[in-house]
Amino acid sequence: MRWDVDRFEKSLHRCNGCASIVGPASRPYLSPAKNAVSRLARSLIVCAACFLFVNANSAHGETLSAKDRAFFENKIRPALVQHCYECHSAGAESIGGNLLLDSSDGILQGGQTGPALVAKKPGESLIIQALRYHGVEMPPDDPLNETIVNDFVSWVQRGGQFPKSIEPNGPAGIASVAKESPLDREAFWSFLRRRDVPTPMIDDTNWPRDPLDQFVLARIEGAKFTPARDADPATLIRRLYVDLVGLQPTAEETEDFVADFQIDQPKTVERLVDQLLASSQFGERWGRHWLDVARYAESNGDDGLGRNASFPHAWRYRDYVIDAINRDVPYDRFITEQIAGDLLPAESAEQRNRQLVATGFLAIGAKPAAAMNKLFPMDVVDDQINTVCTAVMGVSVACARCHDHKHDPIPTADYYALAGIFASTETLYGLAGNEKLTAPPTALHELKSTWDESQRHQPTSASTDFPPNYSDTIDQLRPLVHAKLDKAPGDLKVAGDVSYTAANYAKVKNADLRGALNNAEDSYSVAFWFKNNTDNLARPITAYLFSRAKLGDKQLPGDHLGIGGAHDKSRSGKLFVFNGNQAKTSIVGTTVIASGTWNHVVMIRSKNRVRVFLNGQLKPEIDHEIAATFGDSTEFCFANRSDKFAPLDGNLAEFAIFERGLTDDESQRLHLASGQPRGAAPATVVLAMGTRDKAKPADCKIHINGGAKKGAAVPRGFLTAYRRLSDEKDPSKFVAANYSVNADESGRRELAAWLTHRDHPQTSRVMVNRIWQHLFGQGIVATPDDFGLYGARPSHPELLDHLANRFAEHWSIKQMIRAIVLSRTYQLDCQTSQRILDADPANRLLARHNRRRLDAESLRDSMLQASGQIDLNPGQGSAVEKVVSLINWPAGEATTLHRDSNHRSIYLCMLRHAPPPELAAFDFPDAVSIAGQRNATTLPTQSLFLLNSPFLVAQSSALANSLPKAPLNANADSVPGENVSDAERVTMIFRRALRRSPTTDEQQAALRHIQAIEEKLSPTVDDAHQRQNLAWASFCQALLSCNEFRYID
Amino acid sequence: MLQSASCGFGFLAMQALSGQRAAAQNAVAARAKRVIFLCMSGGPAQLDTFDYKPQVGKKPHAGSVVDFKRHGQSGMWVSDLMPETAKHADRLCVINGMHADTGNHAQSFLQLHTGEKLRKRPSMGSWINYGLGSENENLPGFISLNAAKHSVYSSEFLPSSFAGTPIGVNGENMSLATIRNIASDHLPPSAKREQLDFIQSMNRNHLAQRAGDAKLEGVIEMMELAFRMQSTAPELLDLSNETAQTLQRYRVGKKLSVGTCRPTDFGRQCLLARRFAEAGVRFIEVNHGSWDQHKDHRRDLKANCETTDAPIAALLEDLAARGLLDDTLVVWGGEFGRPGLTPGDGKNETGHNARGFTFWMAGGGVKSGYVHGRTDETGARAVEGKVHFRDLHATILNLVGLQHDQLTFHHEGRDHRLTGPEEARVVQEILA
Repeated sequence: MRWDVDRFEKSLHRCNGCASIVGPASRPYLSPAKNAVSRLARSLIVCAACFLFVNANSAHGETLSAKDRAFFENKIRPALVQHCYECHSAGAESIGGNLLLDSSDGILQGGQTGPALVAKKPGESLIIQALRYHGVEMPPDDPLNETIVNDFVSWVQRGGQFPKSIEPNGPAGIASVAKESPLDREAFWSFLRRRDVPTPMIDDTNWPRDPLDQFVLARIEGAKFTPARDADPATLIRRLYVDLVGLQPTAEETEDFVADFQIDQPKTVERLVDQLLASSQFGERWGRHWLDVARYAESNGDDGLGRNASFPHAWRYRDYVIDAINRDVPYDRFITEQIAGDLLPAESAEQRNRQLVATGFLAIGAKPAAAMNKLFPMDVVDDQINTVCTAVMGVSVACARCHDHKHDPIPTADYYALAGIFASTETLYGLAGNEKLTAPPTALHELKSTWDESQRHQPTSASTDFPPNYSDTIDQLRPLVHAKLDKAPGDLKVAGDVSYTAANYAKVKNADLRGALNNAEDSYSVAFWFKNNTDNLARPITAYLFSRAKLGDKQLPGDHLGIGGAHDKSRSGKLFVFNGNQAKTSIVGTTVIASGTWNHVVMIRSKNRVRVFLNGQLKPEIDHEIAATFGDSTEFCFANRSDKFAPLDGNLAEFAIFERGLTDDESQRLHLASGQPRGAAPATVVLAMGTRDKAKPADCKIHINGGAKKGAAVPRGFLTAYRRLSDEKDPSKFVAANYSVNADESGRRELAAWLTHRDHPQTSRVMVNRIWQHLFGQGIVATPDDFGLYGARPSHPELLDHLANRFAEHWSIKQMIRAIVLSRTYQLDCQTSQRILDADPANRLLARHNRRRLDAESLRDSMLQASGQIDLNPGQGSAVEKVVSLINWPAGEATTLHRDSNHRSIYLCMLRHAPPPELAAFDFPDAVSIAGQRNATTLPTQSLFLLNSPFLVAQSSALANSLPKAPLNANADSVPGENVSDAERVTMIFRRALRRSPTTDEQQAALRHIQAIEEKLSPTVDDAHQRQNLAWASFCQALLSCNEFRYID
Repeated sequence: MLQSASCGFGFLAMQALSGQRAAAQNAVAARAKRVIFLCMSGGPAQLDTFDYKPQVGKKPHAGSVVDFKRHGQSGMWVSDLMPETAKHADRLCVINGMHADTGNHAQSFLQLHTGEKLRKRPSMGSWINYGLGSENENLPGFISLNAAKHSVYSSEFLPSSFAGTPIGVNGENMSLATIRNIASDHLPPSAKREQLDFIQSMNRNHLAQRAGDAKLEGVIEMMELAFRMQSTAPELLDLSNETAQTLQRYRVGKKLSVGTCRPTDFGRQCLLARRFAEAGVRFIEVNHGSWDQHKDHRRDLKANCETTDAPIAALLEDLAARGLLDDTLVVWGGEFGRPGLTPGDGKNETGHNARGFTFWMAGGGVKSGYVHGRTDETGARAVEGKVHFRDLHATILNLVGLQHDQLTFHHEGRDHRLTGPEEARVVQEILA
């Protein structure tokens, strides 16, 4: 493979795909009719509702006709941006020929060679001559193709005008949005402050239960309809279970609920809702909704080179989300922790850890291979900007990376104001599979069990003031070589600068001491005292202490014990063991060893297991499988590595080497006999993905066209559209609030504060809409991730603001859900009159409830529940928590990392492009981008899953076997207590799977089915018991596969 | 109407359905119903296969380093390393003026498949299925054999019903590769039918109380489709009813591993492609690689040609014999080409060349025995009849009856198309 990065660079960031795609030039956007067609195609599949098309042609108060403007936007501007602005725009580093091509003024004024354009006279226009390579040749490296040149000719013929909105700032300017234009304000509705809407007047005042019902009913009454009847209690309890916890009620729970409901409806429903909201299953259901938004996954996904590195620590973020939802962490706090958790104060280690893990939100995105793109860091920033803005505000700002956003009021400058915040942030995602060409490896957050940092770095107070019998104690363990090192050792070969004293033993610098064992067995131990004088960040590796390796071999086969340095800051000052360039295993300890202190180390190899004890601690610093790679070599050296790289500058004492693996106890004795205090216990460090501020936060320069070439720096900040769109009378403090970013910080704290300001127009609207969507199957805004110009408009704008205002009072997700599910609107039946069905097929009036399919997780969990196999304890960790590798490599190795599990689906291993097979068929999101709304396709692969998947077969069999066995023939009563008739068993299975007893017809049909299957099996299956089991399992599978099981009313 | 809830209807049918007659009439006449894409990954050396560059003048220059001969009525030059394919010279439409944006494998490979170099976009097979809908009720419309990675068969933002179904991912053994959950042995087929009948009776009762719910109706239909697929797909994958002679013609099971040439069981892929084409799958991609012959060009080139030559010839022969070549478009090519070697200078390694390379097409609506465009005398860059990937995409869409600038999908606030925002051109010159 050879990487042609430079050439690629030029083409990559032209933002292919950002430009609106248009057919005939006369239509700047798709015509409403055409739009409706493509929408219809989708709506039949994803049941997306059609929404109003807004013609934005006249959105800008400019002199250009819509036609001319469209021509410019679609033909001329992309070409200018792509081919000319690198040199000829205000944002360019040095302006070529003093010519600016980013405004009418610039082009008419011209550059060194005079005016570049003569309106309506292409032949006389320099720009056309240059594009045709007549005299002047532009662009210099490659002539534009003829079509583009002809476009420029037409443009000049039409007058060569620029639309006003991008004057005079070009690609890096501020898109001015005409405040006075009423259509703009309609188009950018979500940027405008929320209104305090009084609840509307209604006729049927007995109907509503919650103020929100009044908004809904007003619309229904306005359309001269009446709402559907209330759902019956059996339907309602199932709806509440699935919506709130993603599980099914049992038949008994259903029957109890139905009975109580008849007596006291409101109290019965409230009691159930409160019970479900308080259960820990609630967080597993609603946490998963947030994970869709957070594009959560445990591997990187295809990075463009087909590589897919594991994210072994991502699952901690999953657990954080479940926990936060269960504790009902206020949404503003929830967002703040995910964006800036590392910058927030904490009162305990537990809180600190939780906040660090929360920032995993910013780190778990899919990244391109480093080899794909020189601007890799900006790709990470791009993912973060896009995720934060889309998740929280429902606004996509990605286009503004390369040019002012075409249809939302986001100028490029805003993008780079945000980019400065994330570019000042270090993203910690880990080793990226520890493979070449992937994303470059980074450190990770270290989660600590103690919060008081001052206790952690206490140097040991050890000295070499050993008792007189210390050397004898060492000898009692029969070392092969024991060198006290208060004078030159007899058994070792010394090279380099070494001096010996009784008080400080061997002082070494650029030296090594060598020896050999008698045999090359893969069990040995080594123990000694050392003092390192090199600062832990002074060089890439602070020091190598010991090598058991063939001396001088450049491939470094063998064991090498060293102290980490600046090369990897997460390892600085910590002991590590490395086994050479071939095997490449390197395991690091946790304790930071302060330079200038005496420390005792014992390294024990017992076959493939290596343990390293520091300062007499009972818990090893390192305890890991590490392949022995020294082969048949018996050599060793200390104070240096076998190839003389990174020698120790310091002191050594009481060196001993043993031709066997010492026991833990023996290791303790080697330290205990020294009379020195035991060192601090190694901290339990666990790792997490996340972010932290860079040492030197800085504003980001505009990247011209999103490429490598840079323009002016933009002060760190946020989106400016709100201020520009606000009217003078706006009393909101949000617009006026001043959020200047502290120069010493990235600005994520301020960003979070800005986003979660009570008056931020979008944040609360977007979240209540997400909540509404999960409860009704469609949002008030049908495009939950797009509140921009091209997104849908709210079906009930007043209702949206009413809910958003309520939500922003306390930011409680649970309270919002509670209010909605207790409303009359939520509790309506799915069935309604044909008149309403015909008039409102998409149910935009909310005069009935929407029938929905169980999603991938609820389907699997419900099946496990029915079969009795479900384990409702939280799943621990992840199948990949110890896997640092590419999950699909080498070629031909399909992913086999998924483990069988009966835990709820949220705990399954979510690998990008290798999703759990039990979930993959049912529109499980790919986690490459935000998925605020899942598809609900109907595909043959889903049916195949139901008919054939090992999961279904196993659950069906488990369900069949979980019930008392029927006797083989009617008169057999040999098994006491199991005298259950087949009809009774059918009823039991019905109640387990469908939470109700069968009708007589259903019972008869089931028995006929079981009988028929047994008959079909008789030619091939001899054993009667087995036939019976298979037939009953077939019946169970049928119930788990049918629509009644998979759809909720 | 049942089909509309599933994967049956494409964009064109939708336009007609929703009364957009004018738009539907804009559609071009379809010359092909399906596409077989012979994807040659790694950058096949065009100068030693189909773009003959003999030495001209006295000074040695870069060009072809293997011998070429003229073939067929058309007298088309084809490399001696492709003796079997050469017999079909009069069926080929060679495009020698291909060019692409980048000589970087991953990006160019992605652009070839999706029109985009880095961002994830739907693959052309998905676009075509989105545009045309399914031709066979019992099979997916897009099958990717020996797929290298997810991004080349993904439907991305298009509905997932248009995603490619991979058979054999990431180099797995093609003789074992299959469709997930296509079969199980927990019940014999007759019992499965019995079981499905029971499920469907439950479903119909459920539906009866919820009359008019198209989604529930769609599920009932889809259960039947899946049931039929269970027999159709494994039958198609099972080559035991092919004659020994056919297996030999396709070189099924031949696995040559030389240098960059991987053992891809290319013959099995081509034979499966024919069977899927016969069954009405819209878009079938087969894969062989790698043509990335950096180190030992001559040796690896020979192995790659030897692996692919006979199977491709057998495929063309069978398609023609069965009358399928008239409405099946076969497309051959990779993410870019390679610069030529200079005879006699002792060098045997080649790099990448995206400025000029070769694709060929055959069948469905393209000229036969025809060469379009040319590169300069050393094959370094396309100089005449230049065709960019987006032009190639526009042309393929045109051949199957779709207009590239009309086939759009709205996503993330804008309308996307396979050919991207830039102008693409249908290569009218090669249309029959």
